[in-house]
Amino acid sequence: MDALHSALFYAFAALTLAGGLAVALLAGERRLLSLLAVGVGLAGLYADLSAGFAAAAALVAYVACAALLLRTLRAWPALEAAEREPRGVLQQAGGLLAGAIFLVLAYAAYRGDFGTGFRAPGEINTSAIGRLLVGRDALALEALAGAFLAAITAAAVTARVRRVR
Amino acid sequence: MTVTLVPVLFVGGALFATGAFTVGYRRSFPAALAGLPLLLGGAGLDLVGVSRFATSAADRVAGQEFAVVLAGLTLAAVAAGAALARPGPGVPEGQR
Repeated sequence: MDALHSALFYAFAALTLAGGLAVALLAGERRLLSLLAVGVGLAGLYADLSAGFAAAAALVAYVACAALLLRTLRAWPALEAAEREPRGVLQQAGGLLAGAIFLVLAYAAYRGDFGTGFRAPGEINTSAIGRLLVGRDALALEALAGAFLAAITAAAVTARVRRVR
Repeated sequence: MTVTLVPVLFVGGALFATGAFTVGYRRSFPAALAGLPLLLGGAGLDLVGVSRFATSAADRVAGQEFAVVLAGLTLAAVAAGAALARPGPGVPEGQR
């Protein structure tokens, strides 16, 4: 990677991690703005790593996620009331577990014996990804689509049952 | 400072751990739900990094392919979670 790509990578990485920390620590609409910043940073990282199609998909997904969460937040602000209660043992254990996960992943990243080869990204494009998704990995894609359908159906049924009661 | 696979994995791991912290530490469901995109984004970044810097010529596109799938999975999971977060009946929107 040349100097410009490297500088862009670290700039987008800083934006992504700062946004991630803000998502973890802030509340309300500021948290959703931070989620948008994470989406922009992640899309920039993908694009910098020559994954333009994944960058576009991630940007669309994060903007949609932020919009969905904004809708939930504005419709039912009382859902945020639980944040004012003190953290229980489970929350503190969850925070510690996340710290342990980070230590393990950072150790694996720095101590892993990875290859250092570099390949120019010429053959990786949208059509190649599409061919894989509908060709070699069609079964996996179908399984994932089934999981999506089940999740969305369950969500719709749950919302409908609650409305009828 | 040249970018190699190690910084990519480090950033991906940090993003994943931040998402795990958000999901585990926040009390309210919408706040915890906002951690899900961070979790899956960290995993996707690692996949794209391996796809970019992999030395094997056998399967160079798979990382990006599954990063795209993860982006779709993120959106579906957040949509399902937002629907499930809906509080009980009897109270109008904006007052719950």
